[in-house]
Parts: sequence; structure tokens; C-alpha cells
Amino acid sequence: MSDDGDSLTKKFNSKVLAGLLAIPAAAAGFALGKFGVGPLEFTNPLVMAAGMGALPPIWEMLKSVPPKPWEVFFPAIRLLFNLHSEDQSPARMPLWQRALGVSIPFFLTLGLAQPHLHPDKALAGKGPILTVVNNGWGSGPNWTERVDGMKRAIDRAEREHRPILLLPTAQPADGSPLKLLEPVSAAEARRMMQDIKPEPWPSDYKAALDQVKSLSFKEPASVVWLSDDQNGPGALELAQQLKSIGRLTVFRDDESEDAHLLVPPDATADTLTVSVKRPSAAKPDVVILAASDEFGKVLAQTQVDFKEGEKEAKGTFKVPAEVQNQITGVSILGENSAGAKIMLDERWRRRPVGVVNDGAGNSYSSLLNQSTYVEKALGSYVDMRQGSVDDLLKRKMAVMIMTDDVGLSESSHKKISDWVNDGGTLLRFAGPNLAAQAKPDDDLLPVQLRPGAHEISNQMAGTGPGKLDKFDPSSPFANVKISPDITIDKDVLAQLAPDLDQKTWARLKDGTPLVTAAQHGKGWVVLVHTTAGTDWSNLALSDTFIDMMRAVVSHSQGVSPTGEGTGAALPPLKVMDGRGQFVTPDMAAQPLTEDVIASGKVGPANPPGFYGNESVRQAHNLAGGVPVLEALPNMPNDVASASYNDKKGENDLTGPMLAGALTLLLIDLAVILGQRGLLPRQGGNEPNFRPTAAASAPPPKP
Amino acid sequence: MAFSKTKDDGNTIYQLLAEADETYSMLPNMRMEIEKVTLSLPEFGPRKLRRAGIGTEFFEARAHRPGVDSKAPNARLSARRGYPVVVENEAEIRQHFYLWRDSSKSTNWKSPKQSYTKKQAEEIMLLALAKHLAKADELIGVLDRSGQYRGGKAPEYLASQLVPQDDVTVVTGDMPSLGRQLPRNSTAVLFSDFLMKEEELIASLDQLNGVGLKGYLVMVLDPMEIEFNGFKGHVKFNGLEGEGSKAFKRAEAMAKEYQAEIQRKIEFVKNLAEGKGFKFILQRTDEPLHKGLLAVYGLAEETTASAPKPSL
Repeated sequence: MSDDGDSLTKKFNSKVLAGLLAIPAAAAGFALGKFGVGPLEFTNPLVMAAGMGALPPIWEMLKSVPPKPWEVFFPAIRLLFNLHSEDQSPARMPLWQRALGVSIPFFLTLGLAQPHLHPDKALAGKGPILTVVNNGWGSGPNWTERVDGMKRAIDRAEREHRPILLLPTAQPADGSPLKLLEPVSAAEARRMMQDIKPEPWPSDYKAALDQVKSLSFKEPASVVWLSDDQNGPGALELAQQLKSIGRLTVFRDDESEDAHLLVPPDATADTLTVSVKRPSAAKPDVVILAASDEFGKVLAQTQVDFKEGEKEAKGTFKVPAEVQNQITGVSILGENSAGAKIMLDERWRRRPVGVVNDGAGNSYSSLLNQSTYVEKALGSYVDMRQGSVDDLLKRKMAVMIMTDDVGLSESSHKKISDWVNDGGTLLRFAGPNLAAQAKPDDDLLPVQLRPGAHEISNQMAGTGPGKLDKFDPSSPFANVKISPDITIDKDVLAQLAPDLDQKTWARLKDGTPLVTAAQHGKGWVVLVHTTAGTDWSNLALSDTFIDMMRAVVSHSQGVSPTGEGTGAALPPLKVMDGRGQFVTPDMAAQPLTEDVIASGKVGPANPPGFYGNESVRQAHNLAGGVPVLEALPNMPNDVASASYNDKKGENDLTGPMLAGALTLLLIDLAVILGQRGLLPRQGGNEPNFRPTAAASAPPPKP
Repeated sequence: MAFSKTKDDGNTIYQLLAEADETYSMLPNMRMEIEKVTLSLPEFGPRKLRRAGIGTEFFEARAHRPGVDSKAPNARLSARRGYPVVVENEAEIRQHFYLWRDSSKSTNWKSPKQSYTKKQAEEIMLLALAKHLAKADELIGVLDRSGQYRGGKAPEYLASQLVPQDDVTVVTGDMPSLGRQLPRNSTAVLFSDFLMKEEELIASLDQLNGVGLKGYLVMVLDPMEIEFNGFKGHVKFNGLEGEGSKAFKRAEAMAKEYQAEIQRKIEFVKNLAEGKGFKFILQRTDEPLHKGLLAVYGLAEETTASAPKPSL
């Protein structure tokens, strides 16, 4: 490479020239970096100056580096020795390769100078940049937009060397009070930003306002409010306060992106109808509701249409009762927020029915068993349980069914009596036992009974079996169709009493009551005057019986919304996060007390979710904690408003520039390798055409 | 039979034979021409077509060569003529062909666009010629090896002899060194690039001439060796046999000068060959290999390929 040294010396003069050229190049680079080119803006003008200044010397240097020869084998080498008129001009790197070589530091410089395409306008003020970010439940659906907004604010602050402050508006999940985040560096701010996440409760504007009130800056700050477009107590005051410390820009969701709030259905209704609320009623909107079971399987979907001007709309799931009973949650498809999901517990389920089973001669599923017919009739419509009185009363129950073959102890009698007084519905069936033992003062009977069974079908008397008369319009059975082939052979007769007619829900054609009912305390006692089995009638075999049983269950009050009414607090089972996902409860989550259930309050102590234990499950929904749902009011005049959808944001070109430099470097490397014959090129796999390590060894002399 | 893989270029003999078949199939069925060629071959008497008829066997008497002829002299004719005379009958008079190809390192080379190295081209031509000669029932052998073969299997025996064998002392070098005496006026066909030192070539041809061999020099060259195209910029050329190296800053500028040089070399070999009683044939590896073989039979211009092709 001695000739390389020669050419280096020869190039000395041009090197000096290149050195001189470096100065204006550096100046031009600095100017470019400082003022930008068109839509490009550079963060580090000094890097630009240094890089641009280095380009002319690099160009000169590359000029004097000759390319490495391409080594080949050639059999007619002896002929080449005879050639003399060798071209003495020094080898030079071709122009394109020099351009390639210079473009690497050029792109590297551009990359290190951190160019931004279409940079954001500089923020007003010189003080800190305060970013208020709504992270209440309404921020869930478009959380990425808010994260993006925070990132841009942090980038901006870093570039302008201004302090950044972050203020989330929802109380943290750990139950600690809301506080202003004051990171010392942009890197720390980015870390803190990761910790801010949407919470499943509303924003607390008042607490945020308190935080802002304590702020004072020497220089006017600029404030960015990344709102979720949800109004709340103190929202306007917060805006006023923010405006007072600096120029305020409020980002608002488009109306079509506002978070929706699902309201749990009416527990007493037969169909599952869910209302959906939205904060703004300006445009028509459509949401799809999905009802899912405990394992998340979607069981039904329904569409809810918001008309213009409507802030609330309803969606009804048309599903069979059996399916409806498996539904444990309803959610809005495609919307991730705690408001877009409600949980349903037993209150919304089929009314639980208990069949008293004293364990003696009442074994389940025997055809001789009286309760079998009731279970067959109701089994697919209600949540059916059986057990002793004590067992049944441990859990909530709407209707208790007692057939004739069950004996009651004194204590059980008392418990049932109390339960009925508390609102339960007791459905009893007559039979031989009742006919024989009926006491006149039995408070678990709606009417006083005459002792003994009454044989309707009496051949001696010439009477046939009893037939059902039409139901009174006031009876709960009014809508039940009577099957014509029902015959009643025996029943028990009620003592005549002035109110017997009122208490009668169903009667035979001869006027004797077949079903009587009376209110006891808050609850009801219903007596069917014949057996639940086929001993005294074929009623239990008819469709009418099924409808009658269901009518009784519908007539019952259902179960009370509080757990057992014992006042015990229910521990959290699984709770929702701000994106509507179930998570294990945070340490701050407290058991659900009756007070909270009554008030519907939602917060870090009681996040929405399921509370309870293995036997009792209580759903705590967000809707109770959101009394009003409305959009942020119009801001004061001098507040700038912006939309998240305004995508004409700045583009950081650092990555692409560095990637370009790296790509060019690789290309250059490939070119150099190729010139040194280290890449497969034309003739690369020919035997002996190019020297390789093995082939370049001199051959042995023969 | 050592039809094993050759050590130097990875081509099996079978592959070479297959290529040779292909080249051979390009040769026209030219019985008459071959007869003409063989008729014109000197010294061993006119070869004629077998005449029909019984008891008219042709024979020829010629002088006995001690050490060469395995046949005993015919006593009666020798006594009559006063010197030892051998009687050959027609069937035994076969032309002897001794073939040779240059297997030196410098032939094991090809330029990127070619499908054969020079050595492969040489071997293909050699075997194709051997096949053709075997069909004409000639005696063939490898010039610097032992043995003569005839019949259908002869090319394969030849091929096996081309495979380097460790137990054979004779090394096929730049030029053949004769390890045996051959019948005078046998035909030698030498395939090589003839790029060896000129004195070596002269000495070798002198030796062949000395034992009475005449024949053909087939100069096989790669087009890149003739035209010197494809080299651009700074190129360093290395010899394959340790001759040294030479670098050019702009190799493309040397093409004209080199072409003159190779032309001079070709002329030299041609003149030398003709002076020693050999016919000179130039074969490029990018041209059909049977062209050179046709030239052996005098059916094509011997130096069709001598002129460098106009470079692009």
C-alpha cells in the first residue's frame, strides 16, 4: 500500500482546501439546525454544525483511499509479464462510492441532530408544562390517545427544556389521595406516565382543583388538559383555575368516541333490558351489547340505537329464560371501560326456589315423590334447590315449596314463619297428612281448613271429578290457559270465611277453592288444596300446572338486594380495572357494606366488581356511582380546544435517519467486501478463478 | 476399474463420459471421410475396405523393428530380402492413436461464464475422439501411460487412465514424457492450452518427433484468455502454478495489448507445430467442442477460433 501513502501526500493540498471548506459547511449546518428546512426542525444545531463541517474532509479522504484490487487467478500469467505499458494513473475510489461513503456521516449527522417533520407549534409561556390527564372511567376507551398526548407533552417539554407536571384526575387505586406528579426529568416523567392508568371510577375534579390551587409559577405555564369529555362537580372551576396559571388547551374526545355507561336492568322485570347512557346527545349512535356468562362466553347480542337528542337508550335481550339465567354480565362490544360493562348477580337471575326435603321418604327424583312434579314443572325456569328448612334458609330464596309428605318441627315452623313474614313466598300442597292434622291456628296456611279430605268424585252421590273453573281476572293465574282434561278427585276444604273469596286464586266449577293465598307479614302463603303428585288429581301432569307454578314464582317478591339482610360486609371477589377487565382486588379494596350498596358509591375502596363469597355474590356496578352523565360544558372563551383526532402531529425522524445511515453503512460494507472478493460475485464459485485461503497456497512442485 | 471421482475438480469419469457422448454425437457419421483420413495416413500402408472373397487376404511386409514389434520376423521373406521383415495382414494393421491431455493446474480454470474448465473440455474432446476411434476399430492409448485398447470399452479404459493414480510413477505434467516406445508413425493428439514455457514445449515436441510421432496439437483456450474481457479496474492476477502475480490499476486498458500477446503465442505454437509435423487446431471452450474434433479429421478449419472475437 505504499502508493496509497504517495497519493495521500499528493492530496495534501486538496486536504487543506477541504479543511477550509469545512468551516462554511459547519456554519451552513448550524444554520440548518437552528432554523430548520421547510417542515423540518432540528433539536441539536451544534451536532448539525459538527457533522456538516466534517463532510468535506471525509470526501477528500475517501478520494485518496484506493480500492483494494480484485484478486483473480489467470493461467496465461506469463503473457501478462510481457506487458509493459502499464497505466500509471493512481487508482481512485469511484465517484459513486465516495458519495456513498460521505452519505453515511451525512445521515448520521441528520439523525443525531434529531429532526422533526411538521413540528408542533411551540407551547405558550416559558414556565412548566402542566398536563392534566383524565383517568376516570370515561378515559378507558381511548386511553391510547391520552397516553399519546402525555408523550407529546413530555417530548415537547424535553425539547424546550421546561419542567413537566402531570396531574391525573382520578384517585389512585391504592386509595391514596390524588396528587400532582412532579418528575425531575423527561425520563422520569415517561416512567411516571406508565403508572397512570384509567381507573374504574369517576374523575375527582374537586381534588384536582385543590392540587392546582396550590401551584404558583414565576413564569406563565402552559397547560394541556387531556380530558375524557365527562363533566363532574368542579370541572368548570378546574378549567378556570388552570386558565389562571397559563395558556390552557383542552383536548376533547369526538362525540362518537365518548364513553358509554351501562345501567343495570330492573331486577323485577322479566326480560333483560339494559339502558345505555351517553354524555352527549348530538349525533345518532349505535352500540352493540353482548351478554356473557360467567366464563365470558357471549350468549346474546343486541343493538342499541341512539337517536339524535337521546342521551339514554335501551336494549333488550330476547333470550329464553334458561339462557337469561346464565348471564352474569353485559358489556358494550369494542369499548374498554368500566362503564361499558355491568355485572349481574342473583337479583337478576331466576328466582331461587327451595323445595323442602326432610330426608325421610322424600328422596329426590322418585316418581312416588310428591315434589318430583313440582321440580319437573319448574326445573328449567328457576334456580331450584332442595334441602332441609335450615339448609334452604341459609341462602336467598324467593319461593319455598312444601309438599304434604314433609313433616315440620316446631323450630322449622317458626323459621319458615319468620321468613314468610320477611317477604318470602311459601307454596304448600295439601294431602293426606294435612287433611288429617290441619290445626285451626296454623299460621302457615292461608285459610282455615276443615279436617279430612273431600272426595269430589263420589259415585254414591253421583258426582264426577272436579273441573277447574275459569280464573278470576284478579288472580295471578289469570293468563294461564286451562287444560280441559284436568280432573280433581280429592281436595281439602276451606272453612267458610268472609275473606275466603278474596283469598282464592283458583277454584273448581262447584265453587270450592283449589288454590288459596294470604299475605303474612311482607310475604305470602299459598296453598294448593290438592296433592302435588297424582294421588288426588291429575293436575300435576298438565301444562296448566307448569304455568301455575311459574305464576306463583313470578308473583313472589324475589330476593332482597342485600346479602342475607344480616348486615355482614362482603369481601371483594374480583373487581374491574379502568379498561373493564377483571383483576384481583387491590389492597385498598374494602368489603361491600350495606351502606355502600345503598349509596352505590364507587371508588378505590369499592371498585366495581363482584363481592361476596362462595355462596353469596353481589354485583357492584359503576352506574350507581355516576349520578349524572354529561359532557364537559363549553370552556371559557380564551381556552383553546383540540381534538385527539387531529393527527397532523409532528414526526420524529431520528429513527429513520439513523436507520438510513446504518443501511448505507451496510451497503458500503457489502461494496467493500465485494471489492476485496469476499462476497459471492461473478465467478464466485468457479474453481480456481479467485484465490481462496486454500487455493492461494503455491502448488507443490512436481 | 478406477472409475472413481477425480481428485481435482469433482467431476466423475461418468460425467465426463456422458459429456463425451454428447460431443461424439455431434460428429457426423462419416465413415467415408474417416476412411479417407485413414487412407491418407502414411507408412502403415494403404488401408482399404475389406474385399469380398475367399483367400484374397491382403498382407504387407515391412521391416522389423527390434523392440517394438512383438511379432517374429517372417523367416522366408527376411531371407529373401536380406533384412528382417514382418508380415502384417490387413486385420492387424490398425492406426495407433495416442491421446494426451494437459492436466496441469493452469488448465483447471475457467472464466465465470463458461461451463467447462479447460481441463474438462480437453477430457471431453479426448474421450469423444477415443470413442470415435474405437468405433473405427483403431488402437488407442494414453500417450504417457501404458497399454493400448480397442473395441467399445476402450474409451472407458482410457478414462480410467486419466484419473490420477498414486501408484503410477509417471506424472502427467505440462508436456507428456514418454515412458515407453511407441510404434513409429503412430498419431499423437495432444490437448492442452500450450501456455507452458516455450522451451519446454519445443523440447517435448522434439521428443515426440524423435520417436516418430506425428499428429495434432489441439490448443484449448478459455475465451477470457483470448479476449481478456471482464477484468475491470484494479485487478491483481495470480499464476496458478506459482509463476508469481501481476497487478494492473486499470485492467481493461490492457486488453488490446494482451490480445496481441496471446495472438503471438497462438502463432508461435502453430508455427512450431507445423514445423514439427503436427497439425494445429484451436478450440475455444465457449464453442462446440466437436468443432476441434472435426478439424482433427480435416473437416473444419483448424484455426477457426484463432482470431479474438470482437469484444463488446
